[in-house]
Amino acid sequence: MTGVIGCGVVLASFVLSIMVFLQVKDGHSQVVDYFNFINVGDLKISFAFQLDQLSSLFLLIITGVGFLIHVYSISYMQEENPGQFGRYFSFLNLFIFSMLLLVMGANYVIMFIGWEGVGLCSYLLIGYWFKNNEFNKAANKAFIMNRIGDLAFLIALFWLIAKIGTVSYSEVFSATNLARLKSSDITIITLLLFTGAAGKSAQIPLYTWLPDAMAGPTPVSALIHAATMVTAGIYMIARSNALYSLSQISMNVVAITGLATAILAATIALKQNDIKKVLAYSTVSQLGYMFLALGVGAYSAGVFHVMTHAFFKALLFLAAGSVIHAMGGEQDIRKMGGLSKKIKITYITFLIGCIAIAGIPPFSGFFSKDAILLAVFEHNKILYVIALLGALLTAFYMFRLLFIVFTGAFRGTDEQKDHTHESPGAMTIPMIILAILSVLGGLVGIPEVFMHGGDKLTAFLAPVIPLQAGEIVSHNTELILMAISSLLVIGVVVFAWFLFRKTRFSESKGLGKVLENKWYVDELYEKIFVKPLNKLGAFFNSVFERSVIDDLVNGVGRLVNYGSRQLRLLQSGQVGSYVLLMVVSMVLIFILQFFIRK
Amino acid sequence: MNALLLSAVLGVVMMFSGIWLKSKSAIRNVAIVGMALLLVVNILEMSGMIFFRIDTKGMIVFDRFALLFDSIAFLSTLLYLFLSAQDIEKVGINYADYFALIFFILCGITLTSSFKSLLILFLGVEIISIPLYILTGSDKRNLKSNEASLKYFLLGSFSTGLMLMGIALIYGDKGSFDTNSINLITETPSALIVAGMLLLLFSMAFKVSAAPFHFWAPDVYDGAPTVFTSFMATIVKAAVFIAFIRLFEEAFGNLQNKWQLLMAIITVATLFIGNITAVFQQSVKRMLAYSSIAQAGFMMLSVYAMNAEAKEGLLLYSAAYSFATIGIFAVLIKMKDYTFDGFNGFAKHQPLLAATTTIFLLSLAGIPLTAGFLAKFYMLKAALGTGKYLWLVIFAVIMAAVSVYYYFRVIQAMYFKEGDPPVLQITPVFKWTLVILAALVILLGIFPNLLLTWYYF
Amino acid sequence: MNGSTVIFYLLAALTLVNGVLSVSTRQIFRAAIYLLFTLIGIAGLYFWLNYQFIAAVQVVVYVGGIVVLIIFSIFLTQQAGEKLQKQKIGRKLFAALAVFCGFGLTIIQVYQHAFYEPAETGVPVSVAAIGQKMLSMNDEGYALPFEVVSMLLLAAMIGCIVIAMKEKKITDNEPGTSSPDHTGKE
Repeated sequence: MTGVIGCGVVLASFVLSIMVFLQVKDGHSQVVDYFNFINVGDLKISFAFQLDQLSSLFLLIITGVGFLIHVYSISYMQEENPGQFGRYFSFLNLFIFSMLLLVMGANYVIMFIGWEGVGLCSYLLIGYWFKNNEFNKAANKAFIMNRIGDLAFLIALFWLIAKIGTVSYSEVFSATNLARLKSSDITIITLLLFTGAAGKSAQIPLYTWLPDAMAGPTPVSALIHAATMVTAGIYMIARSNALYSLSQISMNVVAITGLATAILAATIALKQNDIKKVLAYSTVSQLGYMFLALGVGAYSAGVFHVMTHAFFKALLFLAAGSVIHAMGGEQDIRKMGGLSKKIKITYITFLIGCIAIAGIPPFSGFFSKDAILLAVFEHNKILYVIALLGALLTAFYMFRLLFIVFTGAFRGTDEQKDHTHESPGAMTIPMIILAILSVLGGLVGIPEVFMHGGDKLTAFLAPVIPLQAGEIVSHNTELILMAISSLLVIGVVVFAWFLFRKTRFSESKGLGKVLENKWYVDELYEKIFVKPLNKLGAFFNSVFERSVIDDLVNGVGRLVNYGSRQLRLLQSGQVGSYVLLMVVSMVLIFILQFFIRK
Repeated sequence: MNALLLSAVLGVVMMFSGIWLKSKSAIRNVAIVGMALLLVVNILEMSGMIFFRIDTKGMIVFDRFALLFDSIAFLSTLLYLFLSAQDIEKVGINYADYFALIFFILCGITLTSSFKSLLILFLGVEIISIPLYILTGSDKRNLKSNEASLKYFLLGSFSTGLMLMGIALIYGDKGSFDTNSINLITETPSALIVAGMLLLLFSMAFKVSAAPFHFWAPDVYDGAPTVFTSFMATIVKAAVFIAFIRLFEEAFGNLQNKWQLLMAIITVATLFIGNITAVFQQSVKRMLAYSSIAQAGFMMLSVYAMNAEAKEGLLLYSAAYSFATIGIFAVLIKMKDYTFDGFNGFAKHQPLLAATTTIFLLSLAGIPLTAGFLAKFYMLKAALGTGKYLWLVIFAVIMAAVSVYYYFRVIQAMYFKEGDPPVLQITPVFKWTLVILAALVILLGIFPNLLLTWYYF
Repeated sequence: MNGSTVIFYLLAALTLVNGVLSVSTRQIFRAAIYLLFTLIGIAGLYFWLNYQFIAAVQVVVYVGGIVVLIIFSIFLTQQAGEKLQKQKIGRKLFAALAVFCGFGLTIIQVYQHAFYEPAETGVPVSVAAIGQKMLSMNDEGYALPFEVVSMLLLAAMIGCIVIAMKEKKITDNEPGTSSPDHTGKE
């Protein structure tokens, strides 16, 4: 029952989202203003929703993928007791609510409310199994890292308010207001917003929380930490494209950070042995690609990748969840192998997901990744080469994962071997639907070179995201680039096949070990930030708190007590003393009065 | 004028009802109905229905300020009677006369809140004071009550003497009792005027228990029967404050530079002595006596500031303070043990009473969302509005923080300590009146304009 | 120095000497008697100033009424012949200081006050004129305060009845009352 309600409301949201989408498609974008939310002096912030091309697309992704994952969750989480089950769904639905608020808000404040809401839900769901202390730590880590980003977001908001006194999109992006902003202000605001986005979307240097966030249930990882929440940063920058386009510095920062994250995460993913961790680093890497797209001005390509990524990464996570389910909770790929025969549907859907993410035509990932790579090529050739290298790494680690898990000999225990079984329909059907979407999803953005007017998505988003008038690469070059990348990817897949068909695991050495330990970034952060802060806290606690604050507070208390005792003695109970004291004070006041006058 | 005459008549009626009516409840009901009538008649006068038009030769003027305060005082007294009328009867055998004296005090209050002539001020203050001496000593079987009454009488007469001397000096210089003609000062004021003003200042400070003329207050409030302490520490004190601010605005408004520093000093002394001494008390009743001195310190801020906000704030403060204090005293009367420990575990056995008491204490401490907070806020704002003596405001805020300590001791005892306090019988009327009082305290804390709009329309 | 001045100084001396004696004696009955003479001295000053009505009121109310009342209450409460205990030195010191400062202030004020001859000689205030003022309803009258005084007296009368009415035995403490501050730890 809990599950039915949980899924039903999301389904209803999905149906409404379709209706909104159809309306928007006919050109009826609108801002719905409900009431005056904050009204301080000249600042007026209304509680308003903006329904346009960008938000309606996100609405579809969130509610559609969200619905499938909800359905999947019913079966995946059924071993929980009813109370916990209810808690799970209430968090999940709260998340959907917050996410919708985030994308529908017509100003940055509403977005920020949703932004905080999804952060909270993420925290609650990562720490869902709160009895495990490690999971709680992961939840804390995610929350704290997000807070750092949120602080930057807030400062950006205040900066906007201070400079132009408004936060609503339509007013901020209007030509008059943009003209009022100095270019330095725009750069600061956009960089601060990007810091916020980097926190939420796990970019360097705030990405380390996302792999740890895999502590949450797998459907949560699929929904929040792959398909929707982590793309909030992309949404925010795509939404603010009018601001970003005015600051070349910020664009470069976004592009380079995105690319660096993409490569860094991809290298780490090469050596991870936890099935969800590999997918997590893959998510970080793909998010890096999206930021790269935004950074080179290809906003619609970035949004396109958000969409296809939502499909195939959700699919991969759900399939991984199915694998974990089949293996009875085992997540270490070294203990899997040869599962292709036992769980066929999972295998096939996982394979489709891998092909899609690797970017092999004509699967969805090909179109979106190609759009990004093309835009990068137009922007800068060096960046293109690095990005292409990243794409190859992606194909390599994904197929490594696929081959280790599904081919070769089974390496788990005998008990697991007998136990292994295909997941129930409630889990496989969402996977199948997502697999179909992963195959076909790219067709909304077919490049010009194949089909005239094929890039329907860019055309659809054009009212929100103006077309970039950049250097246009000739169709021949474009075709050559596609061919090169596709062939290279296929080559890498074949290479992986030879390498991991029959796997032996040994202790990693040298670079392998560094990669396995994620470039030691966590340790570095621990040394640089956590330890000194703890030390400082301990210092304040032991020295400042004890000897300064405590003494001050207690001292005041003691002083009051002492004064109280002394003053009490004046109250002797004798009328004579009272009259005398009164007369003496009267005389004093008289003296004071007549001496003031002089 | 309605209220003035009716309260005097009611005083006489109550006196005779003691002879004619034999049952306690009949007398009590006459008193409550009379009180309600008094309130209604006063509100009617506020809306323009004046039953008696008497030419007072400019000695009494019923302006909005006076009428609104009278309404507050009558409403407080009505609620007070609902809560404590039965306890008044328990004090002694002359209960009908106690009610009569209360009505005479109200008659004095209508005079002091609307006087234009120093003579009327003096008579009003005396009509308030003399019944209070009697009420303080009404528990004749109790030595402490007798002692308190005598002390109050002696010291009160002393202050009355000061007031008379002050009035005489002023009359000697100006040849008039009229406040407006006293205020007409063109050249530098003569020593007679200044000395007279100071003597009036002393006597008024005495009546509101401002330091260093507060010595009577703890002993009298502690010694008097608790029901009457409740009345005189709240409604009467607020009324004298209204007279105080009126006197210094209308008669000495032009001499502000002469007395403002003195007021500031008296305010600081009152806040300091009231708050600091209250900290050490072991008895809740005595703590409340000192707290009433501390609250008087806050009300002194309005006399010091003497601007539009100060007058508004004083009205709000008198309502907030009266409601809360009446409520606390009413609960206190029901207790057997007046020490802080007597409240241990009160919340478990009387959750409703404990909750309302908590609201009253929070209001007295000036915690937001209660009337007490806004009242204090108005006072501080008024004091800031003068643009002088910032230290005074800072000091007041610090003292407000100190006051939280002793108010919260009661809350702590009620909620966080174990115990089984014996409580007298509680009637439903009592409970409902307490709830109404608590609701008023919170309502005024959120919408102070419910009260203050009456001041302007 | 004419006769009038001599009389003034005599009256002033009578008032002052008896006043000082009244507060300095340690026998309370004598203090009351000295007070009586002080009040008579003041009445004499009123007569000297030709304010017969006030002088008469002074004699009737203070000399005839209040001092007699004081003497009665002394007889009822204290052993009239015994000496009072000595005051604490601190209290004496403060009292002396207050007296000195008060005296000084008054002297300073009196010396600084610009005394001037009244433009017209004062109208002789007859008792009849005072009576008419009190009850007159016109602009200069005090009918209203006069009526209000009646209320005051009524209240005072009720108070007397309440105080005087007989009640049962006296107990030490009402339950729950606390001790005053000075009986705490000292």
